[in-house]
Amino acid sequence: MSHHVLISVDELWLKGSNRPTYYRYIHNHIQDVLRLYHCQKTQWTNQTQRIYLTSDFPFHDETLLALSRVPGVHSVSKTFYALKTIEDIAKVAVENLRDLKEPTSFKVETARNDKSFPMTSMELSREIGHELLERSSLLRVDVKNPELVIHIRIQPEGAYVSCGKLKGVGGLPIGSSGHGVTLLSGGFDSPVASYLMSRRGLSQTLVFFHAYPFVGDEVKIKIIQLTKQLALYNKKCELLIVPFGEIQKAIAETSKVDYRTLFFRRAMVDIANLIAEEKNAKVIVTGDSLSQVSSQTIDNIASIDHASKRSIFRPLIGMSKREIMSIASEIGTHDISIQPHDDACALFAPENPVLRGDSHYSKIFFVNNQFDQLYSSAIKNAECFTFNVKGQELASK
Amino acid sequence: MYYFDHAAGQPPNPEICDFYRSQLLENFANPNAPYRMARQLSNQLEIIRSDIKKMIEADEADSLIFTSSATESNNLLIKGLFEKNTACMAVSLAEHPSLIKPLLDWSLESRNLKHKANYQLDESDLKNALDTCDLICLSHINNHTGILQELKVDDVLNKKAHIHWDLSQSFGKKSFSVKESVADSATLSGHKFGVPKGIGVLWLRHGITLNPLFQGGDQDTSMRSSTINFPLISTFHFAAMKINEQLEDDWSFFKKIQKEMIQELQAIQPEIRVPFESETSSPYITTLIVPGPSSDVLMRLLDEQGVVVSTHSACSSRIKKENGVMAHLGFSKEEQQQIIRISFSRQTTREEVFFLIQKWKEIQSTLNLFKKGYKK
Repeated sequence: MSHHVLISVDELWLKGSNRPTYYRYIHNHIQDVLRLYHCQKTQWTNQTQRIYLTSDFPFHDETLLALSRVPGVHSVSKTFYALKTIEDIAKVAVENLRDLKEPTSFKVETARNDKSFPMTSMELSREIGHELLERSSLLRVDVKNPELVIHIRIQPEGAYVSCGKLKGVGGLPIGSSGHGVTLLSGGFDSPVASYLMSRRGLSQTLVFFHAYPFVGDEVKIKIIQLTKQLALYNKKCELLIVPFGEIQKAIAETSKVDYRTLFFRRAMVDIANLIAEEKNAKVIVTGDSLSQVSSQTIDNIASIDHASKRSIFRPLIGMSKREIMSIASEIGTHDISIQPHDDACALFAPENPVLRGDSHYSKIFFVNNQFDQLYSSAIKNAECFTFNVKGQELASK
Repeated sequence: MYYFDHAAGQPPNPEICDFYRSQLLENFANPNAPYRMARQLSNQLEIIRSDIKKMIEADEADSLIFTSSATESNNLLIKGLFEKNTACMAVSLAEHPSLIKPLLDWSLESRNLKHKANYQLDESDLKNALDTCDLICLSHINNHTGILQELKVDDVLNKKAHIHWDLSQSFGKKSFSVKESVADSATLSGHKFGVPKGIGVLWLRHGITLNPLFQGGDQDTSMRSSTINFPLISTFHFAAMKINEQLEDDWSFFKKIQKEMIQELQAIQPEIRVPFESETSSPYITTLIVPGPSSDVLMRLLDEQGVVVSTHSACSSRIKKENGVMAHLGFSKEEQQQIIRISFSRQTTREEVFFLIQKWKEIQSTLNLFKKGYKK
């Protein structure tokens, strides 16, 4: 017996003549998921906005979930083959609703690729719906707002039935928008920012600034956990842990106390730009949300932007903390971020950090104090980790 | 590298390691076997037991069981002495987890011993526990605070409780007489005085028997079955024979070193506090409260300079920085995060301590960056 999964893609249809390129990205990503989760030979059939997978072995729920996390995927559903008769289609549908425990409202949607079938889609839906009601006492019809959509597709070789589908993360396939460098902290925001950019097709190198000895090495465990979770939404996830203690110390020793936090931030963006150079990344991503903390006021954001060679994307800029937390819960980073960890910025934090940094002082400070040497040695001493789409660490180079 | 975490474990001394190596190579026979080579080891084992008993003024008739660690000795005593949920047991929550955890798990009813303002155990509470409980566990020197606890025969007239002493931190540093301290059992640990890790001792007053935790070949008077680890036992004996001399002299010598060190550190950082009085604590363990950022920052700064000290927070609490021992002794949350423990061995030198002080001085400029009043 063969097993089928139907994947529908999200925005690729918008892409006109670029579509084949985008398909290639999503194919490669899905290929990786199947290789790591399904581990069995799988055949592909492409239809306009859908990909049909066929295998001799059943697809596990874990595989389906992993597929739903591939950016660009609109939905994923298990699909079952039936003969092109009302009875057989209904029989197959009911068999696959065995797990249904409670009364559930449903509707049937039918699409006919085989136009020689002697009924219209509407008629078919009605007939199959009727047949289902006869066979299952738990089902009731609701065409406006059903809890379950039973999807029937009539093809020349037979009918395909799917009962319910998993919502995909949507957006665009990873890599289709290029590459970025994302600043990752241990908090709630930056992982969400990274995820939102993954969903817009940006592959990323994640960078964590590790302020040892002001912060213990325990924090690395947390950052690796976070990266593993984000890796589930990426094709391949690279993490750089950049030693930052010496730089922080050098800045704290030379700057005005109230500028420390701002200048730490500036140094991070400087380093991110250097890493971007190496990684051929065109953009920096941060988890800034407007005015959330002192370094995120418009003046300070502007001063950082001014110093950055590359655009800085801030996908959370207009979000409330509640919205950010809700996405964090959805993608599984919330429970990792909530674990307490040391924060060196808090250790160095002045009582009254500057809210509207004097741009002249900032400029002069970074001209008078050259950190290039410290930056490049920090990058040279960075630890590099790579995780596959299953969150498993790949052997480092 | 300058190492000041001897309370956690002492680096093995080369002479002891050489002896251990020769024992491993030569005395490999199983002492319970019937041939001559084994009989010799078995006889030697009796001499070893007898020597160790003498060191703590125990009777020849008492039992001496070799275990894998102090943790095992404490567990064996607590769980072997009574059936689960049949006895009332008492311990201070400032004790080592290998006393607290098995005791809380095993006792029918448990009593937390109280401390006085000077952090010594409260005598009337202790007296009450001795009269009413079945088992009471004490440490001669507390591993965390260095507090020295003693009992005299008069304290315990007509006591009901079995008194168990953990001597892990004091054996080889402070003499202990099981007679004077009216002990019924005691735990020793090898790696706290330079023996490789993996050996502990449980001494039991004669007449007391334990239900074994392990069943097997009935070695070691059948209270702890396991193939006799002769090479390690004989190394324990070798090291113990060497270290139990000049205890008093060294004790006063290190009192002086400790005092000097504290004065020097306070000269560098006057806000440093020393919560435990010198008269009632060990000169080998110095606990400091260092106001400022969490003490693990200080620990790591020193670590980078090649100086190893401890903040003594267990692995699991490293991030939350809770310190159960200090909490029980009434220290605030903030103080619990500011603890530094500096511990010496008897081999620690003045030069090493001088180096620690030097490095402590050098990191001050970094620590100053965290001061709230800091201006630039």
